[in-house]
Amino acid sequence: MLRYVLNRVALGLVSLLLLSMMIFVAAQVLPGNPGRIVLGREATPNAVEQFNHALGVDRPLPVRYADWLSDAVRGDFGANYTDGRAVTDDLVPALQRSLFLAVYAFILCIPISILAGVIAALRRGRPTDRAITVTGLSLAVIPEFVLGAILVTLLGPAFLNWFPGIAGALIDASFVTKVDSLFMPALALALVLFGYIARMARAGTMEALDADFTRTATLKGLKQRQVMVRHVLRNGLLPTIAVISTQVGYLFGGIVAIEKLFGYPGIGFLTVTSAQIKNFPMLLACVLVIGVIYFVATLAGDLLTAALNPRVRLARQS
Amino acid sequence: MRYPNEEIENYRRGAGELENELIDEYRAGTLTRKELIQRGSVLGMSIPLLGLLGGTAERAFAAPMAVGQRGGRIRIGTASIDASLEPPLLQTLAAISVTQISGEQLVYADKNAVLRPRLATSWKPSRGGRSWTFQIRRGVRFHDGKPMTADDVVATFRRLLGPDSQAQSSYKGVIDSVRKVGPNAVRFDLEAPNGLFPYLTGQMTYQSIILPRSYKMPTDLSKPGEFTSKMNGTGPFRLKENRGPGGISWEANPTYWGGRPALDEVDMQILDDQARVTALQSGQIDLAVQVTYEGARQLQRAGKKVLPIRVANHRYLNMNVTKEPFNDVRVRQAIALALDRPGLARGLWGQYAEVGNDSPMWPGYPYTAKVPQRKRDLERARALLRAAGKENLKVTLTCYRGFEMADYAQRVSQALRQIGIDCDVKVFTSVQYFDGVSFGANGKLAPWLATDFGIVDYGGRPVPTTYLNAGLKSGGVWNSARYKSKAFDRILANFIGAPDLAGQRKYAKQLQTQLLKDTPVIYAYFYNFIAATGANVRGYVPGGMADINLRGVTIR
Repeated sequence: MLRYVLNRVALGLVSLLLLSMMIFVAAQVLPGNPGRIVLGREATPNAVEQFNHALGVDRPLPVRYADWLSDAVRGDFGANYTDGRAVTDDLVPALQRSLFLAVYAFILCIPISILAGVIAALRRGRPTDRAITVTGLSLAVIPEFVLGAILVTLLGPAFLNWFPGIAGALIDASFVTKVDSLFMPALALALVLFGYIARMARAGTMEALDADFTRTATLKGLKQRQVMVRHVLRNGLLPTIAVISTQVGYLFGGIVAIEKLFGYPGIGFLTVTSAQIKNFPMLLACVLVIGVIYFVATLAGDLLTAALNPRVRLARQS
Repeated sequence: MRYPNEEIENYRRGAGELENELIDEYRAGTLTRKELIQRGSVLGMSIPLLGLLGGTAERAFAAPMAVGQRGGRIRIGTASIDASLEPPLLQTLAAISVTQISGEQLVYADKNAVLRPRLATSWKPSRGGRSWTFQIRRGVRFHDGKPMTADDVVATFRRLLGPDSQAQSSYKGVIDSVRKVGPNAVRFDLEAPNGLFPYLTGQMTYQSIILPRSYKMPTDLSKPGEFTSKMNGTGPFRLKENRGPGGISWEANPTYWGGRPALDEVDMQILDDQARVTALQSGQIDLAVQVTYEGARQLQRAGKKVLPIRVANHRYLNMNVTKEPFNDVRVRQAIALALDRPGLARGLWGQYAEVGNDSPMWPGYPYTAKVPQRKRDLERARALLRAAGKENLKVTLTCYRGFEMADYAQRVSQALRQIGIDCDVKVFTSVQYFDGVSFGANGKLAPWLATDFGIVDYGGRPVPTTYLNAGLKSGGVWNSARYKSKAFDRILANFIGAPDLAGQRKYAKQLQTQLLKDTPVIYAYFYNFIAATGANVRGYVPGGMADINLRGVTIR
């Protein structure tokens, strides 16, 4: 198991390295000259050149990458092109905001998705099953920002006025205000995940329902409730729980569009904004941090799956 | 107490030729009261005196700020700050809106283009408008506690006259030198007489925020610029915290020269166009700095206060007069004749726009003359193209994604199809469109200037000098039409140097006629700057350049 973990960590680090190279190169080839962006269109070429020299962007690409990487691994992502403030000054609070939103989305999503999956499995082939499956599939294929826009239109100030239309930075806001303001973005993210988690829960539950141990438990006279709780759910939901952890990475992908839509300055908002205004240091830092989150979440999911499923663990060991 | 006439006659004895001419013009009935106040404010005549001349007492603007209900925090929504906040480097609307909260210029042009004293208490022309002397306000302190002096004013303008300044569109070819001529006096010597010069020291040159002479332009990106981190200006609010994308907050400056502001705090959030509208609708912000036409309609339906301000905001649609097919004036005129201006204005901005007539002389300027309005005439347009032998043209129209510009470009493209021109539309992002240098600088020309047929936006300025000097004069830094006309340049010099309104009117008419004839640029419509507030905000008047003026604003 340790070897497996070490292998995965090594592979993950290589993936992150490749990711960082790709985004670094991509950021350099995008049109836009940092000196020109900062000093403006009237600045003389000489001033722009001096500025770029001070910044080091006139050095060879590999040298710049090596410098950036050595700083980045120490947590120093440089300074914003636009205002010279340290990237980490904005990145850390943004990451905290995004994590809050992600946790909120999971809290909304997981109980409902699992419950829907179990109900669908219990009513296999009936209209309830079909309704849950079709709804889940439909929600899974609609992009987060479309769902977000629909929610704003329906639940926001223009129609029902149940929730605030945007989230904003929520500086010094109370917990209740945060929960209220972030309900719609969290719901938009949760709805996309609903279909996938519900389907996993349905499949796992059905497999457990068909299993010999369930038949044995029923034949030995246990009540249906006991069979469900002690045997079906305990066995059927284990893979679902493992799968959920792999969805953290997916969730952070969806957060990019949702945060922008709801004006919530988390890491997704920062990614889009910095790409729009060519604030490369921030863009690189955001993409790398999202990459790390994705890697850690996927690794955790795989480890959990392996830990919960001896067949996977043993197959990997062999 | 003196009688009004005695007061006026006393003033006339000490006044210059230009001021006396203005009073005579008003008394002869050739000026309206509004024009008298507007023009008099440019010449540095005090508002109370102008009120006396006009027959009513005007409130002195520079007196301590109007105070309604005191206290409270105003929450403002503005666009992403996409460029430097350092005043000499200012170039984008979001950055402008932020900096004007802590910073101030010498003068301020109000919504009626009347100049109000700010860091200058008065100003006077000499040498026929070739020199202007400003008296600098005493007792003003920067937010760090140091006094603001004439030396700081001189240092600020010398910095802006440097080669890397973003204020070239205002000052290139205008200011020759600036120097201190007394303990509290600063004199600008100009390259040519300029009757509208004081406006260029106000918010229309948003870079001209007065900074301490010790201020240094940023040279090292690893550190925030001085203004970004401290916002050490003289304005009514001083920086509390700059949280970057998390917003910016300010607190009232208790030692503000105009009196402590009514508001205690200002909190600014970074929100996209639609997010600002939704946030205001939800009551999450109190003021949206600027909203789109669609946003304004949505907010109106929701019962919010929509505040349109009639200004000279416009879209400049250039045609490169040096290059095929636009080097033929008949092609340019045909394109201009294909557009349905009232339809464009109504379709893109509803009641918040007025029809343009292919010159930047906005109908709201007192000197803009009535010349025949160019109207859609498809038959004539087709005939012009036939005469030019350009019947099956293919052109590409560029613009960037911002407000209604892409929609405008599509409508132009559809209109041109009706006269047989196949027009593609290419939409850039704003960063792509402005990535490059202006005319006169060495380096890659920015796409918005390099384009042969393109649309760009110009913010509302109280006088058209930037539109004319930068956008149309031969060699102008923003002259993407590459328009070069000795006749136009001569009329322009006369217009800017005209000492009185009669002269300005005469030359404005000539400018308008010349531009209609040459048609290097299409000015199809002028649109309002639209801000919006909640019902709890009182006294807010939007600025045409997205500048946020919170003096006298109260919140319930």
